[in-house]
Amino acid sequence: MPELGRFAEPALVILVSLSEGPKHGYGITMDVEAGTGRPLGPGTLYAALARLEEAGLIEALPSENRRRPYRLTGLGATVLDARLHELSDLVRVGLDRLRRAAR
Amino acid sequence: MRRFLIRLYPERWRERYGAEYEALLDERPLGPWDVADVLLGAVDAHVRGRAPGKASALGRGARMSTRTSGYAAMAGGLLWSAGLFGVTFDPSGRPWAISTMFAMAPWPWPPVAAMLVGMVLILLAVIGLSAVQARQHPRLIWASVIASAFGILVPSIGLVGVQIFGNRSSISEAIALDSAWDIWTLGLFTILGGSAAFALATWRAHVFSRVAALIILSASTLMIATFVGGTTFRAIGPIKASWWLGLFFLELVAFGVGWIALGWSATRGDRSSIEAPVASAKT
Repeated sequence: MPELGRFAEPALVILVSLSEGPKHGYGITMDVEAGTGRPLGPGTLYAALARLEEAGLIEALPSENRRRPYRLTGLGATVLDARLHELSDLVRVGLDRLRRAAR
Repeated sequence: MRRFLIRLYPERWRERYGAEYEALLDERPLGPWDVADVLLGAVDAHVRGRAPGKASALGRGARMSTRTSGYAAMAGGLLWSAGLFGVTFDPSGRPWAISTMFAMAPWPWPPVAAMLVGMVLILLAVIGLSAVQARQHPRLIWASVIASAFGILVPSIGLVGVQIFGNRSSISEAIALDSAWDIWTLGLFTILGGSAAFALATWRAHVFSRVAALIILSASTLMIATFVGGTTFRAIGPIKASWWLGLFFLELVAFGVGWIALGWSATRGDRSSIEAPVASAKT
């Protein structure tokens, strides 16, 4: 997700939130805050959502009483899977090095 | 206010996201940090509208915001306390008393400037650090921001008035106060009240250092009481005038230390301190 700039991190947590099923904006906000402990402001949320939608990683579902749910697309799931594996590799390498350095 | 904020976004953006965005803003209490985030989002939408597909570098993430606000809290607490100490300290060695602080006006400009800058930094810190607390205590946070903003504007007028006119009442007739000193005092109370409200919200939110919040809350409240006591009673019975000022200085030091500790907890633990309440909520 190189083109997302400063929204790369919010976009990643939004994709993770949507990986368990469709959610609307408020649901994503609450889920992200509960999962990470970090606030996700409404301006940041919709700036990231717009970019993710434009990139085809998420898609909007029909609106329900003004709330519009979003869901992960197939491409979004693939990109998220790849990104999480990259991060997982990075975490593993980092932890290994820290352990070696501590010996 | 919500509709006004949405109208700041480009029309094309509103056509696509306006209804759901309004629903989102209706569903959550908006704190000062949220409003700032929405304003940055509007700027981003305008910039991005001119260059779609390119990510904007405008604004800051929550972590950077918390850390920067922590530095603002530390610098603001230090400058404000040092400035207030500077205007009450009489290098000529005359006996100190809160009731005679104004008699020393005009004060030296360096501590006055330190106070003005410190007040602005404290307001910025309150707005930035309210990102998490505002979700849980929006009224307290708004009260603290409004009081702090009022506490910057009013004493700024009072400070400049004291510097220019001393304690004469010539500038203040129009606003029905006795003197520039009174304007400055009113501002002092509001910034202390704003700090106390923010400290209370921080204490209840379990986000940043609760010890620091307790120190700020206690110091702010006691400073108001001591200031009122010192200027009203001056010297009664066993309480000498200089004792009031000594007590006031102790509380002033505690106020500065409290803000520095709060800012430190935000800069040092912007990750762990925010995650702590969530972790405790899960257990």
